[in-house]
Amino acid sequence: MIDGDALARAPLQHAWQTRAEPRAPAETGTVPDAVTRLLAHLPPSVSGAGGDVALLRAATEAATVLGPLVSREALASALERALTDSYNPRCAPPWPPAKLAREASRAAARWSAEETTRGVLTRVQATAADRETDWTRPEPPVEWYCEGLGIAPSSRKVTLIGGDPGAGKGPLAGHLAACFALGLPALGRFPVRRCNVGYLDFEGAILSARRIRAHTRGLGRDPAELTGRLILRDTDPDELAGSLHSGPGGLEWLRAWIETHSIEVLIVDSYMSATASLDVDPNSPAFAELARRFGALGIVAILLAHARKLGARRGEAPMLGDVAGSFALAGLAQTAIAVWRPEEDEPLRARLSCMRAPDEPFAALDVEWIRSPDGLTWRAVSAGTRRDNASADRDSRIAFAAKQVLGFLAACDGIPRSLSAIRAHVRAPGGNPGAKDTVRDAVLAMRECGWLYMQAQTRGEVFGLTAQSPAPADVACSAGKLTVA
Amino acid sequence: MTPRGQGLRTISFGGIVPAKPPMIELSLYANAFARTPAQIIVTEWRDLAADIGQLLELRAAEKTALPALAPHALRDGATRSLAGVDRVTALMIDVDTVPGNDLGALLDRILPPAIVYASPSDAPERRRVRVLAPLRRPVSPMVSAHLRCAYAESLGLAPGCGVEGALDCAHLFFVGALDGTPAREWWVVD
Repeated sequence: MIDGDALARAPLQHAWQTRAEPRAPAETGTVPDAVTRLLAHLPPSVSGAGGDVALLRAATEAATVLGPLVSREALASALERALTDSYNPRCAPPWPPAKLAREASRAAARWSAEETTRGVLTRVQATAADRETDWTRPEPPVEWYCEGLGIAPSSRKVTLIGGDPGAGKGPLAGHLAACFALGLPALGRFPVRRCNVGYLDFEGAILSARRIRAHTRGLGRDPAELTGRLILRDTDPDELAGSLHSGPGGLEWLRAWIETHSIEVLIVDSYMSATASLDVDPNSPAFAELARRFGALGIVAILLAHARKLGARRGEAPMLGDVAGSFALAGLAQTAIAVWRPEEDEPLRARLSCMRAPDEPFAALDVEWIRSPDGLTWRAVSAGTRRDNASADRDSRIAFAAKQVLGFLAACDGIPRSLSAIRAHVRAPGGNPGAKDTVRDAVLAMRECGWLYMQAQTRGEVFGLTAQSPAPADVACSAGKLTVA
Repeated sequence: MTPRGQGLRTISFGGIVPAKPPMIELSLYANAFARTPAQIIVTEWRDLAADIGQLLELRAAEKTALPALAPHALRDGATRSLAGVDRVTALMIDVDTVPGNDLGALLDRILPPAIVYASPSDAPERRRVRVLAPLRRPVSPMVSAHLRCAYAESLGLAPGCGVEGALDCAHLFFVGALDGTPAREWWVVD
C-alpha cells in the first residue's frame, strides 16, 4: 500500500506540467530588417544634445516593432542586440553595453505592460459589447463566501485587508483561512462557505503554518483536518515576477495550482512582499497590476496590504486611501477591511472596520487574540457601528487627555497655565504629543464640568484647577462629557 | 516563466494512518460520456485484481464506448468533475510511453501491491499501460496530481510518458479491448 502522506511530501524531480510555447521566430539571433531600418531613421544619441532622450525613444520605438515578433521573455535581449548592432554605432560617443541593456530591459517592460493593457481593454470592450445588461431579469444573488465580512468573488476585484505592520492582519488572515477551510464561522459570528483555501506566503510559511495550526486548535479542531483543504505555499517573489506574463492572463503556475487544488479562496500574504521583485514604485498605478491579475483569477482573492506609512494615523482607522500604493490598488478593492490598534498599550487588541463593502458594511468590532496552550483563540471585545467606535475613540482620548491636564495643573501649585503650555505636557496614548483638537476638547469639557477656571490675560487665556476638580484617576468620558467615575 | 509545480513547497498538516488498510473504492463509469458512476466498486485488494480481469474482457467498437475506471469517490449528488471528487482512493497513472518500450523493466520497478493492465490502444510496438496502486488511506483530490507525479517518478518515469495527460483526479481510465484486437494483458504485482 502506498503511503500517500509520505508521497505527498516527496519533492518532484521533474517539471511535469506543460510549458506555454514561446513565439518562435527571430528570437535574438539576428536583428530583423524592419528594426534596422527603423533605427537607421531615428536621430542618433549625441552627448550634450539630448542623448538620453534619443536613446529612450529609439528603444521604445524598436520595442513596438520587435514586440510582436519575439516572445516577451526574449524581447529585452532582442532589443539590446538591435540597439547594439543598429543604433549604437551612430551614437557619439557610443553607449556602454550596460546602459543599452538597461534601456532595452525598461523598454521591453513598458511594451509588455502596454500590450497587457491593450489586451485587457480589448477583452473588456468585447465583454461589454457581448453581454449587454438585461434589466428585465431578476438580479442575480451575490455568491457570498462570508456575508458578514462582505467577502465574495467578483470579476477583476479583490478583497483587501489593510493595516499597519503588526496591527493584526496576519492573525486575521490565518484565522479566516482556517475558518474557510473548516467551514467554521469567522470570529465565531460570521458564517462562511466551506471551500479549499490557497495561502500564498511571501514572508515565510513556517511561521504562518505555526500560526494557522494555533488558530485551528483554538477553533477546537485538529490541524490534520486542514489536509487538502488549506494549501499553504511558501512562495518566492521572484517566481511570481517571472511568471507575471506567462500564459494568456499571466501567472500560469498559479492558475494551475488553483485548478489542481480546487482553490476557491486565495490569500496573499502580503501584497507588498509579493511585489518585491517587480521593481515597481508602490505609489505608481503599476503597483496595482498584480492585484488586477489576482482579481482576474475568478476566485476570492484576499490580499494583505500594508497601510501607507505616512498616511496611517496612529490609533485611527486606516482609510482606503491609506492602503499602500496608489489609488489604483484601492480602486480594485471590492471589499476592504481595516485592521488597526485602537489602543497603543494593548498590542493584542485589533479593531476590524469596513473600509469598503459590496453591500452593507459590517459594524466595527474589537478582537483580542489570546494565545494559550490550547491554541490561538479570540475574544470579541466590543462591537458597534463605525460611528460608535469613532465616538468611543474620541471619548477615550478626551478622558486620557483630561487626566493628564488635571495632573499637570495640580503639579503647578495653583498657577494657571496657558493652553499651549498644557498642550506641551499632554501626551497621547503611546507617548506621542497630544493632538491639538483633543487637548482643546478636553479643556472645554473640563470647563463645562466646572473643573477648570479661565482667566483672560494680556498674553491670552490661562487655565487653573477649581475646587471641584476630581482626582485624575476618577475621570471618565462619555459622549464627549466628562464624568467622575 | 516558472514551470508549474516546480519549487512547490506544500506544508502537510499530517494525519492519522489507520492500522488496517481500508477497502479499495473505485468508481466504474459506463463510458466516456457518463457523468455519474454506473457502479461503485468497494472491495478488498485481492478481489479487485479479479474484477479488473473481468472488466478487461469487455469489448467495444470505440474506446469511448468502453467502461472506464476512476480511482475516486464523488461527493453526494456530484457529477464527474474535479470539484465533484470527494476523495482519491488509489493512485492510477497512464503510461502511454514505456521507457525503451521495455514493459518488463517497468514491471520490475513497481512495488507491490499494484495492478498493471494494458490500455485499449496498447500495441506491441508501443506499449501503453495503466498502473493502479492502492493508497493506505484515501487522500484529498488536492494532492492527487502531485502524488501521481511522485509515484510516476518512483517508477523511473519522466514527463512525456503520458502521465501528465491524466493528472486530473476526475480523469477516466478506459478498461477493456477494442473489437478486433487481442485480449488485453494484465499483471498483478503482489
